[in-house]
Amino acid sequence: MESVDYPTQGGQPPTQAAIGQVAYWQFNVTRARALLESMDAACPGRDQEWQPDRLDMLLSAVRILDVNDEAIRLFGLPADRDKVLDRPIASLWPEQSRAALGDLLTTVAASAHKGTVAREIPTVGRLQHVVLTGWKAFDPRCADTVFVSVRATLNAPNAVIELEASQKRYRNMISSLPIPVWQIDARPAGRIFDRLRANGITDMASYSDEHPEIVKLACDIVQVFDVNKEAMVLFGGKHRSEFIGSVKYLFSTTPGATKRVMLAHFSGVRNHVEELKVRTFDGRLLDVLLLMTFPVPGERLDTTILMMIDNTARLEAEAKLRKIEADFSHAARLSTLGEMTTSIAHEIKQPLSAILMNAQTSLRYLRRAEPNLGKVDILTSRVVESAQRAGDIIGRIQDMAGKREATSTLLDFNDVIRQCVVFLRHESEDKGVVITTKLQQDLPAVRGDRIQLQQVIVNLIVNSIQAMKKAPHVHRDIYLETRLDVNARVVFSIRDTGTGIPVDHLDQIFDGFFTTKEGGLGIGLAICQSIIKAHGGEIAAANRPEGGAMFGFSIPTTAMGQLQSAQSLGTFPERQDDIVPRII
Amino acid sequence: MTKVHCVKVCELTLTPIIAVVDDDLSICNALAELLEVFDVKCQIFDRPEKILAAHTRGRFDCLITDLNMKGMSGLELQEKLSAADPDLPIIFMSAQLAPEAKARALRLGAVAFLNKPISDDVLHGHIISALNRRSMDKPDDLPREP
Ligand SMILES: Nc1ncnc2c1ncn2[C@@H]1O[C@H](COP(=O)(O)OP(=O)(O)O)[C@@H](O)[C@H]1O
Ligand SMILES: [Mg+2]
Repeated sequence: MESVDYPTQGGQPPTQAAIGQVAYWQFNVTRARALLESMDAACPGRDQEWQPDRLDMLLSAVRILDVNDEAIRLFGLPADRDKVLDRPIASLWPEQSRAALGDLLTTVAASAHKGTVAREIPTVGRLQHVVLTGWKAFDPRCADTVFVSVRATLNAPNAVIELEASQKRYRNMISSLPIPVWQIDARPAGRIFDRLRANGITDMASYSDEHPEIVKLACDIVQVFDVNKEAMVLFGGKHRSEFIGSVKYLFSTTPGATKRVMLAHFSGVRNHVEELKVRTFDGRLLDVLLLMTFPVPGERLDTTILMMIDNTARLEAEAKLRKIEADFSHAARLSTLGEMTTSIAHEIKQPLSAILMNAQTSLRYLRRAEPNLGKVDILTSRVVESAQRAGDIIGRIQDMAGKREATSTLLDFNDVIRQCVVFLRHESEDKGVVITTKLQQDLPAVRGDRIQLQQVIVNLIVNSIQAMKKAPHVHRDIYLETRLDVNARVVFSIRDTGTGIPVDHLDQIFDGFFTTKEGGLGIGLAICQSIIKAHGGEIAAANRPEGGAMFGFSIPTTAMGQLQSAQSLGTFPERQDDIVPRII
Repeated sequence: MTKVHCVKVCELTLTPIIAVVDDDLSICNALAELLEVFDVKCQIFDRPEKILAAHTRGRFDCLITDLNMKGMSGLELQEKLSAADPDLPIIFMSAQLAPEAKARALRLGAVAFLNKPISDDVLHGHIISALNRRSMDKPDDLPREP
């Protein structure tokens, strides 16, 4: 290794011009002085090999006073300067060039003049032709302060090419990223933070509450220095220059965003993510997801990466989805109706046929030579009856198909079930299914929406009918049952002799759009569940040991109030009744 | 049409009795009134089982039945009755478009398969032809014309 002395050459340590490319270290050698002097005496010819523990002792005694950002980057030091300051250099200096640093410090200590001492090392890590330059502080009051600059002399073509290539790759990577990227230099804010920390400020949140100007300042001095095409497209800008400058325009539309970003930076986290509203240059208001990555040692400290993901489309989609969810129950009703169109047609055509026949008969009586008005009277009143019946049926269908607000009335639950059975009579007979009901008499009233509850029951029955399609004709049975449990809740159960539910489907069947049917919508049970929940109940499914499925739900009744007050007096034992109905 | 044939029709319109089966009572009643104005006697059954119990060979001259009924379909009823009374003319009514059932019913000898709501004139025409057929097919009848 060759040592080069430049006693007076240049006279000055490298200055401003080189900042950003040269790493600076500032050492305190007070504790190492004794060692340095003895070494200087012991090894005048500096080409000697260092004894490892001697070198170690020396470097452990040399303390770090300060470093610049380039040193942090080049040597992979902690970004937080506090973590570096006052530490011995031994643990932070790269192994390959420790001897060189030892030599340099020894030489500087020994030199009487105020010039610089340089050492050249072929390679340190990826860098080639590294030149270490050391000098003493000019101020005689700081006799123990030594500066070391580290400069990689990039005259080796390979290194130049490699470095340039890597910078180009980096630029290309950023500019070709398919998401909008801003590159920001957040170091000015970092310096303010350093100063605040040095003054003992740790709670930045309350500090910035007391000094709101700090937020504004940080926002002003942190600068965007580059953006990619995607960012320009997102913001509707025409020239890159519009984007360069204070980051203010990124955060100003979202209250508190500047402060949150600043606090994140101060706290030293690697990433900050939040949802922002931004106003684009062409006046659009966008919902974006902000992703900021603050640099850590080993990365370029001058580059904070800020990315935005346009959420506007996603949020619009979510809003649409909410609308769809509202329509969901409507669709569920319609799908049930669709499954029953045959049934409905049949239901309406019956009274219609009777009307037509009675009217035709009336006409025949009226057109006789001697009209039989007595007959016409009877027949016409039957027409009225049947017309009313047809009207009722259409009303029922409209109730089911139309969007309507839920109502809450007192209902005879058994009556609700009976109507469903009537409604589905033809459907079930068509499919050879026998529906048997066992309804407990004198149930207390249930408060709820008749149409919705009917929808639940109709859905459950239709599912059971569908599950029995393949069963032999003699085994297509549906049992409907109601009873009152000890908590004065009405328990409804439906059991069928169908396929049953595969065990691994049991916890999915209530999910929206879960279906095993070709052409199934998979929303029947989801809507059942939401209706029962809205009625303060719960619905559950199970398989029957003897085959087939069972569904059950329980909902509160008007008798519950009395019961609850009785229970709170301790009259009734506290018991949570089974939700899944028992098999009887 | 021959003279003989004509006489038979006139003679039969005085006596024939038609069975009406529909599980919807309002339809049964409406049909009964219509048949009355046609001057045809009828008996109504609101359940298919009831006519099976009441029926004997030759008791009814025609059967008008619904297709979809509680307990038993019109097709099943057709099967059972034609075993006991093979010549009984049957007119089907259905509120559903049931092409398969229709084809089957006609294949098994039904006179007609009508979709509800039913026109009185159409029904009248079918009743006349059904009664005609019945009179020709009656075992104690005169030999049919070639
Ligand atoms: N009674 C039943 N027997 C067997 N499986 C059932 C029964 N009821 C529902 N399922 C299962 O739950 C799934 C979801 O039902 P549902 O939400 O009503 O949607 P869909 O009927 O459109 O498929 C069905 O596809 C079926 O696999
Ligand atoms: Mg369903």
